[in-house]
Amino acid sequence: MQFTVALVGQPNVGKSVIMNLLTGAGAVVSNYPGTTVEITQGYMEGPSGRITVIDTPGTYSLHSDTEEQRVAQRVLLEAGVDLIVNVADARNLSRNLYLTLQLLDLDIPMVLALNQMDMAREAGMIIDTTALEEKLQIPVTPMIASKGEGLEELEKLIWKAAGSPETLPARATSPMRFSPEIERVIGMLQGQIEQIIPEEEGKHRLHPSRALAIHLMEHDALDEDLFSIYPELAHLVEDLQEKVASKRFQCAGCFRGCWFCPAADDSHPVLPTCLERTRQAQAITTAVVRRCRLEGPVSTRVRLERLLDNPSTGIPILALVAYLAVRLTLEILEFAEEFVPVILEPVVGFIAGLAGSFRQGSLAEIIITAIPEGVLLPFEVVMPTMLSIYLIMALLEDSGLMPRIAVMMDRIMSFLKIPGQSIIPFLLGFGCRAPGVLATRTLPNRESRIVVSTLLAIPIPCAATLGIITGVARAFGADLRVIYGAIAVVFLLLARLVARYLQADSELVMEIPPVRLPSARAVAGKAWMRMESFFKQVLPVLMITGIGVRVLLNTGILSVLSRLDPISTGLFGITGQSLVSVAVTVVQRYAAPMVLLNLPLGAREATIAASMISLSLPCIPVSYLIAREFGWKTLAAIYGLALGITLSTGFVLNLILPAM
Amino acid sequence: MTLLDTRPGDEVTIDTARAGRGAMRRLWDLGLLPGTKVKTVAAHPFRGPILVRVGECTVAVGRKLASRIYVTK
Repeated sequence: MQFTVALVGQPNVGKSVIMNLLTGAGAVVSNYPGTTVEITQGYMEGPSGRITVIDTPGTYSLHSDTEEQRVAQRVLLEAGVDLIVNVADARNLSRNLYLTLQLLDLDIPMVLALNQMDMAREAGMIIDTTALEEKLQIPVTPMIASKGEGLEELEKLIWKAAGSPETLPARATSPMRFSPEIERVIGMLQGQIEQIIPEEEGKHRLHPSRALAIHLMEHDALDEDLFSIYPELAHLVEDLQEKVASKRFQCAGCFRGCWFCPAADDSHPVLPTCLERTRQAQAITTAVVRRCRLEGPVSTRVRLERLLDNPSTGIPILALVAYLAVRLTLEILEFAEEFVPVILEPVVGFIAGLAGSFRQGSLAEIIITAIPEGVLLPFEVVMPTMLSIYLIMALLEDSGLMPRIAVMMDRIMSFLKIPGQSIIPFLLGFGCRAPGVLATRTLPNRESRIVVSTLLAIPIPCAATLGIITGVARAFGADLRVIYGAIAVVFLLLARLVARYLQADSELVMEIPPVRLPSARAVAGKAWMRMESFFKQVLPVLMITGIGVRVLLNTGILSVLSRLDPISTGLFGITGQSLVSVAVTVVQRYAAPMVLLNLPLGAREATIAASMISLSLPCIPVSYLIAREFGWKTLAAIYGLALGITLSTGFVLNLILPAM
Repeated sequence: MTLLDTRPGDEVTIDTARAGRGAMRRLWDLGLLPGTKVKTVAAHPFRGPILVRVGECTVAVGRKLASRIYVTK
């Protein structure tokens, strides 16, 4: 049976919880082809076969302003979706229905999973789901996903749809009817679209013509994608623009609100179609929701929310939470540093013995020593950090505390001319910079995103960097205060400098989700999925670089670099060979300690080398992401900056550091 | 009067907003459209963000943007 279900919904509606319930642990996270957006895919198994379930990124609307929204749209178009499960938050029904109304235009069979019914009830909302079914002409299942309520009904609906797709009721009319003048323009566009893109054999029109017409009126970034599917549309728009401009053509019932119209009126702050859709969503909500004043005591959750959202009580509590989160990460790190080597001891001993049996410098010896270095090192230093950071991040995210910390940080961050939300990519960056760069998507504009990404690429120490720093400090007695001090100074200077140069403005608009008790299963699942994909991508690279670095060390090629000694000692106070470790970080940060720990270093040298490593070029995965998100020019600029910073850090430290 | 001039507890209706395209779209996405009733919940100190209640959800709006959202009581 070939049947695909797509979960579509706004952020914070509990979509991933439902995904988890439907498909279990077997779901796979992967990047959507050609994008950096992650989607989750899993399967529902049943007596009558297997159903594919795709979880799309959370999106407020189908306007494709962000990459997440575009991916959500592309999944709906390209994945051959047979059924949409629109997950909506019952508490914010009207805002969620905006997306529902847009989805209905796509003419794909759909059911509405109305989640968080308990919270709606708590807020005094009684929702008549039968009336809602009638209004939308699709099945509606009330759910409390966090408690598993309503899951059975949803599963039943999906299996029924998969077994006999024809049982899904066909909609007679779209529940979204615009005002007559807008409908006239839609009709006109629809007619033209049907003419130029006929729905015939071999050239199937993916979008219904009505959806395409509305889309054209609202102008989305997706238009580029759309125009590549239907080049005829681009011509249609150009043609219309030209005709209207030369006054040879007047749309029937022009309301001067289509984006492509040269006669468009600036007095429309919101596109009329968007405004009418909102009104319709509000009208449906008013018709199906009965509000009642709640008697009795206020729930603990609401009281906690009030406490957190009141600055005078919220700021101290959130500051404490943030402090505890960082503290906890460091504690776990310290614990792991003592504990993990003890477990790995026998393995390392065994391999060392094995390596001893081969001839010194032979390929076999190199490989046998390189593989454990490439595999054990990440387990020893990197995994504990990543695991603890991912767990804590997932906890903060799922409990609703993370966005509140972001709001609290907004004022402080604004000194750096970056929005408060940047705290999220920064915190992620302490785990791994790559997800940090991806998380900059939540920032309001390109300039802020570049500023934050630059800070992530250069001064923010990721888990691997922190691993190097602690490892080097332990091995050579390097001064941690100097290293962290250098990072902090560079961070502050760079933030001001880049923000001023790019003139980033930091406008904050962010939803503050309700405070929830996070479910252990969801948190563990989230952390595990992130870890898993990371190790799948990183371990092979590590093995290869591990072998490469070993070859360089054991064959003595690196000793050539000692010729650089006069220059590097003079400028930075470190040997030429240590400079190699700085260069190696570009390929893989984890490889740097392999070089460094094998060199004879003094405390002062180690301090300078570790500072330079911490402030050097971003690793390849991050470079790739930056190039893809912001272009190669931005990446080149960041490389230039990083090179300048790492060299001047070495130079300045060599000047000011006393002998140790 | 702008959203910035409201005090915690005030209930106002949004008239219009002047912002860049991106900020504008995010305002619409979160339901802060002309004609919407919102309630100011809190204002962070030292010119920090303002929290408003839109329907059943809370939205944080930075001061600068709040000063360009025009409202009436």
